[in-house]
Amino acid sequence: MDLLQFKNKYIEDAQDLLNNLDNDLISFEKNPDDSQCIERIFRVMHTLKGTSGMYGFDYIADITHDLESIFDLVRDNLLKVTTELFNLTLASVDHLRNLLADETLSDPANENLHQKIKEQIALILIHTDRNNLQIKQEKKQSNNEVKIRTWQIMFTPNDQIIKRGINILYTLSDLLKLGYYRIQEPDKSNNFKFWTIFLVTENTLNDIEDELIFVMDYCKIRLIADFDIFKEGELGNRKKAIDELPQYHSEEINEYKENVNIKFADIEPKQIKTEKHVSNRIMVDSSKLDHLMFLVSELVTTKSELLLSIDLKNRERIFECAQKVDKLSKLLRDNALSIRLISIQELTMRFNRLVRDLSNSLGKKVDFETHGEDIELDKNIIDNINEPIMHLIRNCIDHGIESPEERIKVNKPETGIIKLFAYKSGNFIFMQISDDGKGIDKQKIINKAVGMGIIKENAQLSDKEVYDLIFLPGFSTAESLTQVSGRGVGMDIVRKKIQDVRGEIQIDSENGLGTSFTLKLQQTISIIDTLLVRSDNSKFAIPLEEVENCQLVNTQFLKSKQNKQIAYIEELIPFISLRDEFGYTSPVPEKQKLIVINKQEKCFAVVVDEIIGEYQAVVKSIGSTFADIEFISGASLLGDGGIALLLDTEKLKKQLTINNYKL
Amino acid sequence: METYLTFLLENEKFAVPVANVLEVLLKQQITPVPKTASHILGIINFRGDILPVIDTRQKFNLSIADNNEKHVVIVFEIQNSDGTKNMISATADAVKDVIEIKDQEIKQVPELGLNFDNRFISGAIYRNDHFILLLDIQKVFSAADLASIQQINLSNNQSLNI
Repeated sequence: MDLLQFKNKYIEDAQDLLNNLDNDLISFEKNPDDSQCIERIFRVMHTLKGTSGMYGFDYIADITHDLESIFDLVRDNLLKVTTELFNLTLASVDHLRNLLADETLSDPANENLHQKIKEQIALILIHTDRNNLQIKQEKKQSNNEVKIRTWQIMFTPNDQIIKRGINILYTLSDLLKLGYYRIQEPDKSNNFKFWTIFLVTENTLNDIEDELIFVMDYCKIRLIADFDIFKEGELGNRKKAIDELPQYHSEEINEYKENVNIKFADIEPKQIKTEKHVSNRIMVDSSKLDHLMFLVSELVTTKSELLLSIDLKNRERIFECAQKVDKLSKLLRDNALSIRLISIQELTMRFNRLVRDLSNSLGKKVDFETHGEDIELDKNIIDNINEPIMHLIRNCIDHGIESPEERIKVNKPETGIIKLFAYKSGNFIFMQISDDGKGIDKQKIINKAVGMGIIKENAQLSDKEVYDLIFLPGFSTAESLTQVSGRGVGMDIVRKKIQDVRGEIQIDSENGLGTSFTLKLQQTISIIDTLLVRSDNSKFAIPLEEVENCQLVNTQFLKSKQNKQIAYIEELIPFISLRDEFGYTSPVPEKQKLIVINKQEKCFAVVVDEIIGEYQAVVKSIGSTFADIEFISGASLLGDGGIALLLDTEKLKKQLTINNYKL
Repeated sequence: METYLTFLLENEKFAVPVANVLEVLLKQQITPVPKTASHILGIINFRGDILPVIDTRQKFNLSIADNNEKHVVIVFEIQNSDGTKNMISATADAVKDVIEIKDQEIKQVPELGLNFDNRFISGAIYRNDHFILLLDIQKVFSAADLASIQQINLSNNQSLNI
């Protein structure tokens, strides 16, 4: 690994850390007495600070150091936790994300923001320091009498430390916060080139090592006394009590003394940005890897067994081995797929922050609940549905949940609830995003659709059909366009993105009670069971779970159906012939096969020449060249080296039902 | 000096840098993809990857070959502007040989007088009483160019309004 790779790994790690930090901060804001939570916040900040320095992200180290100072005060109950404080902290976290992309502050906007954040933090520190340092000192003093110890730390810095980009100043100032200290400079007269720090503290060795974690290679720590050696005057009465950090001690702070109200107006919490950086790494449960190892070793053994059997020309054993290989390859497939699965917690973590910021900026009170976070989905799917779900949550907050006043008027609790509920049913994963807001006004949608000329005025539509209208391009009923959601783009793209991962979305709504969006997703999309069919000389694969029925029909009979509809279980369903649609000109066989496809409770039929059979398709993308191609969503290699095209049933359905709206 | 692969397309000889050529496939089954632009013949299975096949004759506005079976498929690797690499394949009537071309040999192409689209030609050399045209492979197969021919679906270009 070269340095760049290390750096990329650092950036990925840092992004994870920042996401954790976001979450911990939000749960800490809700629950300020949670001491574990603040410890977690500290740990994250500390790691971040240390690693940032090592990779040259000095500005990040800079900000995290300041943030740590603030939360040190919070932890010691010296600083009151306010919404403003959290806004500032969260804004800083966002800024840290910027810094990951722009480590040198080359963008003037970032530099500006950096200065502002620094100033605000400095203001807080100075105030708190002025008012409370006294208490802190006293507190420390009283603690000192309990179980104080003196440690000797021998610190031998060399060139390496500079090369590794460790900022010794931060490390030392953190260390010295632990207690009193006295530093002995290297004695130039002899060859010992180390600094000796005598630290008097009630903290344990672990705490000291924690602070020194990045310079441990250069340090030796030794306990030299169970008491304060300076207080007892053991070292020639050279007692020197230093407990204050020098940067708090400047006289200029007096001018801030009157300015008690700290203004945060300059730093608005920014909307969380969708992360463009998609991580290429994945965390895998080691048991899955153990299983993989087991399968691979089995495979290797079976292979040698197979070779031996071939040598011996033992047909029976060759056959046995082939079966074993078949079984192992299936297990390997399942294992490989399971390795790619990650829990949706990855996803929900990012939404806490979104809900908090958005509801605050809209003046609404919203709680966000998640259930079933341990449900797992393929990493590709998670990456793909992040944006659509974010959009749905925005819609819930912006259009669904009412303002607190409105809610009280209609006898609802002041605080709205948005729930994200994930569960597994059959082969599918369902994700439901619901709010308890005002629901969707059906009449409004119908009026709008009539106005746009999509449906006729007297059209009789089921609830489902009405809600489906929302997914049409350019359809938005929002009366006023807010910056948050609703510019007419949106829901159609939400649906497209979900369909890209072969998922479906459905809306349910009860006027006055709330709305819910249900996503039906495949756990994994790279291998699917399909029905392989042939039309002319081309082979097509149709997802097996959508196939409801197969029939043999006479070509003449189909030709007689002018309206392109046939009867199927007391219903007329439309059919589409691949020959007609794709313009194949070879002679049509006398009898063809009719495949009834059930897509979201709507049936339609596809006419093909022949059904070849079930086929497990490894789906591959057919590349950007075909990005806009209709009716084909991928391709799969066949055993004979040929290629089968995966039919996009959604597009076929659309083609068939597009006219139904206008009926 | 750079090494080139030459191939024939309707009496005309073309050259492409071998650095861009991954493989020449002699008998390749092409799977047609319905409802695509006419200059895309279909897709092939190349070492487990699925690649589109460009009909070079159509791309260059040459007459369409009478017999589609009598051609070779050349697999190219092209570098996108953002540094990523794409594989794409294209047909040719036949491949000829591998030659070395010195920079000073390369001449400008006349604006007129060619019976096909000369946007994709970066230069020409004169060898053995014949002109060989150098193809600008990046231009011929750039994804943007391919996409422009496709019917562009507007909604694909809009990101979510987040």
